[in-house]
Amino acid sequence: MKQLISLLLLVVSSLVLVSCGSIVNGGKQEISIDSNIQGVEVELNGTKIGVTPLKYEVSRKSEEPLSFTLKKDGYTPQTVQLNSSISGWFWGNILIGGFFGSSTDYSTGGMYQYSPDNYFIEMQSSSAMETEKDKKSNYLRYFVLMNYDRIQKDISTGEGKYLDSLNEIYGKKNTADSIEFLFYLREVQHNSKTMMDFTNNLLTKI
Amino acid sequence: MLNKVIIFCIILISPAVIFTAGGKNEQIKISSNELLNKFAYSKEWLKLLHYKKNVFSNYKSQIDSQFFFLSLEGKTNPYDELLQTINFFNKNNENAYCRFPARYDLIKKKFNLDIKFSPCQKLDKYINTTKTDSLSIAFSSYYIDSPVSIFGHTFTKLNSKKSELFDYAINFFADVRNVNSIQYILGGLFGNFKGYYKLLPYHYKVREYNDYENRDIWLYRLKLSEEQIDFFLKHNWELMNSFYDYFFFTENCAYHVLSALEAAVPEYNLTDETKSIVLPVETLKILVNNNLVDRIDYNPSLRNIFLQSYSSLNDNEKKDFHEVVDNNKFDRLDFIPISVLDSAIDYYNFKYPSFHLDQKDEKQNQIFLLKQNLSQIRSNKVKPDLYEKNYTSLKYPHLIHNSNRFSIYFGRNSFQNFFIQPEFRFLFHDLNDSSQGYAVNATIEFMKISGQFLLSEKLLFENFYLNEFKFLKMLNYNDFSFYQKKISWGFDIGASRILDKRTDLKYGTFAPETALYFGLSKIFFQNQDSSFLFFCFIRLDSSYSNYFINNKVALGTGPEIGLKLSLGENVNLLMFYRKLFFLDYQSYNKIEIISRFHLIQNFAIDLKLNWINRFYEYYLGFLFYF
Repeated sequence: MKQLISLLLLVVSSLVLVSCGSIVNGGKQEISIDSNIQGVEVELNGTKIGVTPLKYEVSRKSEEPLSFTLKKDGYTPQTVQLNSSISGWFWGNILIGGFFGSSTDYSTGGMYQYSPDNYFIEMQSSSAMETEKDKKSNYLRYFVLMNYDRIQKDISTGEGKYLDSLNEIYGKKNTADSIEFLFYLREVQHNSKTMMDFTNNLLTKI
Repeated sequence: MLNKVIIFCIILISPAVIFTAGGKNEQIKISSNELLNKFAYSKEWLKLLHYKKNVFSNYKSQIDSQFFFLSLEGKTNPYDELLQTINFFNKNNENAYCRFPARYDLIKKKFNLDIKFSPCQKLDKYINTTKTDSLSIAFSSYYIDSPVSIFGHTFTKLNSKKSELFDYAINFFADVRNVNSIQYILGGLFGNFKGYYKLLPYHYKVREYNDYENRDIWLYRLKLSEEQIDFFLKHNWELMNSFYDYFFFTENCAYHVLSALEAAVPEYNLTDETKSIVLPVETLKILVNNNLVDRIDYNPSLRNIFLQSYSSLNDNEKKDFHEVVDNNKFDRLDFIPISVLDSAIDYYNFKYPSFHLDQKDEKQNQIFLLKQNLSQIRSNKVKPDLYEKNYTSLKYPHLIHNSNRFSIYFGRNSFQNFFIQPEFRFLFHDLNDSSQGYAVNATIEFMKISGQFLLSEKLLFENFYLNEFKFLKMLNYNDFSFYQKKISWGFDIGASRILDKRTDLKYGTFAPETALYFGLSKIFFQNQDSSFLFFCFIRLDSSYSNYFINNKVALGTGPEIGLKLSLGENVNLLMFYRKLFFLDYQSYNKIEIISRFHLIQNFAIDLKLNWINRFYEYYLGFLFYF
């Protein structure tokens, strides 16, 4: 009987580990950082770690916020901070610590957290003031990156709140304009291979 | 001390407080202390500054940021805070109106003032940006993976006439950055976190709850006048730079959504109607019961969008659907019906949101391309037909039974004793409770206690035994299916009366007991509110008692299998069999069968049988939810 109990305990322990497999994985979390301008230098807490687009592993157990600074000649440096936070599978987190990112949001400078581990930093030219059009573009970029799947579905089905929102951003108020705009969106959808492609193509018409 | 002297002097010398317009002609004299005093303790002023009476009948504001108060004693002295506010406006400080627009509006209305301050551009921008037409209290449904969201979450949505996704939301949240899990629990229990209001785009919350955490969002639109909405916005503006000490169970998101709203509708005592533990869903009940809600809208999660479209497929369409999603490729995509394409898109959006796909991985890249392909093919299928789909659901969260429960059971055991068993449960829901308003197969019980009065054959009191104490019991029965391969899990921390071979006492011994559960659950049949759930767990059990025969600590493990049959929302039958093998004791078998009939929302009847080895009890119970 003791052998049976030991075996069961072993099986259950394995189940626990499997269920949190993606969480445990060495106590590291890979995050990706991208920017509207490629080749932007990225510093972590003052030390250069690479250029965008960049993937970087951070320790989940770090209790200090991670401060990333992005620099490129002709652009205003951007500093963004990622904080560890308790979220996701909390009951597993009790054992292995928190995650970076979930408590960070768009409001910190020009950073868009469009997925749990992916950040997009908007670099702005230091020579020009942000125009209304820039603001609108930035907001659209943020909206599209955040809601890519939902937008794709609405474009495909020709209906939905996300499509309504795009109509509103682009000022398509009547049905005829909306239909014409939908055909445009479908064309963009067909000609875009990635999320970023789609977003950039969409921005050309704003 | 000096402050108190100053305040005392102000009160003495202020038979008439002059409210001037700072260089303008208007001068308002508030002729008596009595008038001021009356206003300082009026419900409008008290609610605007979030004062509550403590146990000594003294007022204390729940706002913990000194920045919110103009008087050094403002947190505890509504009268002095009012005087300082009037002085602040009297000085015609350029920022006075900008800082406290709601206070200004209230004082102006009360004393019929007509003072012109220069406009506050930032405030105007805030109000013009949100373009608020009405307010909704949003409820994002239960999320068992995170302790603060086990009971759901509420926030305020500022509805405009724009596209709903461009509306704004005001979220009250605890700043829990950079803490570990233990600090998180302790900090939440003892108010070590600061709670803030924050304005953010509503679509951000939709993505977070609907898409990322797969939680439905319910929107309870409030019946408020334009003036009340304007006042609410201004008050929220005042609160943006202030904080509260955040307590998970009391001063939490749900509570402070109500407290901010209450300032705009002071004739309602919304926060006074909350219970000692404030659950988001209880605050929805309060709003509905006070007739403050005029409409309820529903935003389904990605999972429920998929389930809805999948359930509408016929058998042939389901076959096509599975051919696509089982292999992540399909050669005849152009020929499958629109309904299958839609379902497949919904499936991939739910199962593999783009934000989880790293396209450098070959399989994920394949899925991403298939998603693109599905969308593009679907785009070619129909002419554009712009309309909005409305999802409907009857599981309105406010219809859930009340969270506290008192039960009284009458029964008989195998020793031929009659017994009476009172039971009290502080929170929240078990698998057998009505599913009305709670569409989750889960048990979450906090602070449940029961005892048994044993009666003799002549029905005279013979003895009393503590039967059960649950500090916290959680069981999450995740439906294991092709779209969601999640294990079921749970834990049970408390104490119970041990009636098996661990002890030789006739009526057992009351012992601390902790159990962990891991296993699988499967819903075999589901039709509207009727369903058949099967579950199978491995239970790890530890218990301790001085009255145990061999070892004082008993460690055991074994299977627990069971089923739950629901016939509609209000009739449930639950039965399970458990066998535990112990290191130092004989194994024990337990069978429990409970059938529960919810006659009305907050009253139910139980018929129950417990069988443990050769000992059994059967009983009839009456359950009152309050």
